[in-house]
Amino acid sequence: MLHTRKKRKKDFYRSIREDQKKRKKEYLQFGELLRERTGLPADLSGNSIFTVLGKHLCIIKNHEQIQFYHPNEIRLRIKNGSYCITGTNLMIVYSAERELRVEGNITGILFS
Amino acid sequence: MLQGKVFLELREGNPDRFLNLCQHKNLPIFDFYETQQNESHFYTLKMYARDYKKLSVILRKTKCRVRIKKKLGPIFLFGKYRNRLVFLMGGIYFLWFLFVLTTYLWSIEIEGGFCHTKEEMLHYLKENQIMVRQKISRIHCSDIEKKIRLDYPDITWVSVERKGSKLLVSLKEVSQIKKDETYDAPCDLCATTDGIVETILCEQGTAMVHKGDSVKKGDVLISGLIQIQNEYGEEISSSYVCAKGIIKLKCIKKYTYRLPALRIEKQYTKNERKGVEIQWKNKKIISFLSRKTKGQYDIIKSDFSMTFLDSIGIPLAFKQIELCEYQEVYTPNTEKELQVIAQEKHKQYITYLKTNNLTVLSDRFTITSDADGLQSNGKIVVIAPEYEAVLLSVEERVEQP
Repeated sequence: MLHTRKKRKKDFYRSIREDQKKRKKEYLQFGELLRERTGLPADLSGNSIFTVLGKHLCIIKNHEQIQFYHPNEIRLRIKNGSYCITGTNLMIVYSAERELRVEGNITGILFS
Repeated sequence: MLQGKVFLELREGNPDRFLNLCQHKNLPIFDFYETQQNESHFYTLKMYARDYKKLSVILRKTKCRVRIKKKLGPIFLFGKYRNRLVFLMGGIYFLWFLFVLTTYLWSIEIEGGFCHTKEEMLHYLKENQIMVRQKISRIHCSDIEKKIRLDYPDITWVSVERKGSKLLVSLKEVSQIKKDETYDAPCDLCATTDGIVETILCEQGTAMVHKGDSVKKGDVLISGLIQIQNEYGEEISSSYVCAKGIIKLKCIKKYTYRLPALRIEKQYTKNERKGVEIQWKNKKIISFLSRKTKGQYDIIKSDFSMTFLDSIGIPLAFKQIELCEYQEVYTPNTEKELQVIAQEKHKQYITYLKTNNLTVLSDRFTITSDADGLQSNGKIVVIAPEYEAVLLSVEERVEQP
């Protein structure tokens, strides 16, 4: 009797864990899952880092490509999607291999 | 810092691809912006001059055209002045000279000295080979600190710090009362004014007066002679000591103050002259004044702050001079005004006595007026330690029984 109760408890917890895993698989890729399992920092998997300082400056690291540039809109491609920065008088202050700095009157940032 | 930048104008082609290719080849781009001029739009950007040479492949791929609008940085400045060799040499010599000057000490600043003045400390440092216009490499701050602490026992804390070409010496002293060597010599305590003894407390010596005795100026209050007598009143031995004690006399302080009937007032005319004065070590060398002055005038001098000269130890000072001409006007004082002034003077005198730890018992003052003005006479009864130590000579000691 006691043995069956323990087994039922175990099965219950296992089902919860499996459900969590399934949900994570929906939005996390294999690389990121691996990073999470190993306990490494988030920026090691090659994800882009987006930093906004106030309303006038944003720093993007680890981006892949500049898709479109206009003083009112800048579109960037990243590993698993794209960024769209909208505003007025947008200027690329610094552009290097792994870093991009955008300055101007930023009104919106869209992640897709 | 030396690598220059080029300011470029990008036209036609695909600017987005240009940006990506530059990014791919690791050619940094600064201030990329789209501008419009006369219905034609183009892009402006800045990049390093050395990267500009690598652009040919990218430009061919993107079909863009690039034009240099401006060259920025010192490297282009050298290229511009390559034919003016003397000018270039002058610039290099100036930088070298500036570097050499920074290796010397140009100013010594002393802070916190009260008993030991700035001049005294500077003289001491000079004796120890630390002076202005000396090589900084020869100055060791910790050694100076140790030496000052050893040579001046009353300096409890010292910090020597070098800031650029300036040496900063900070001191903290212990307040020490210097012992008067003559104070221990045999002496009497004598009254300095006439009065009545209010309190007398003999610490060393023999008290010659008692409380309530009236004394005159020069009377011995506590004698330095100590006589030891036997039971029959006969003197066994005598010795001379330095008389010590606390004596307070009730005495009268008098003062007379004369206030003239006419007071002189300055009436400034609008005749003002301005000029500049140059000083070397606080002594006038040259002064430039707009015009020569006549009559009486006030001189107002104001310093120009020349921190650069001060920091390198050049005692040159520039001062702005302003001469304001005035005429002396005699205006009569009314009796009421004079009385108010006399009362204020009396109050001032009383506060002066109180600040000097004298107890004021009563004060009285009378005013007498005549044609020349007003005279106020004050009489203040105070309790004061009115005595002085009078040293005993060898002859006096022999004469005394």
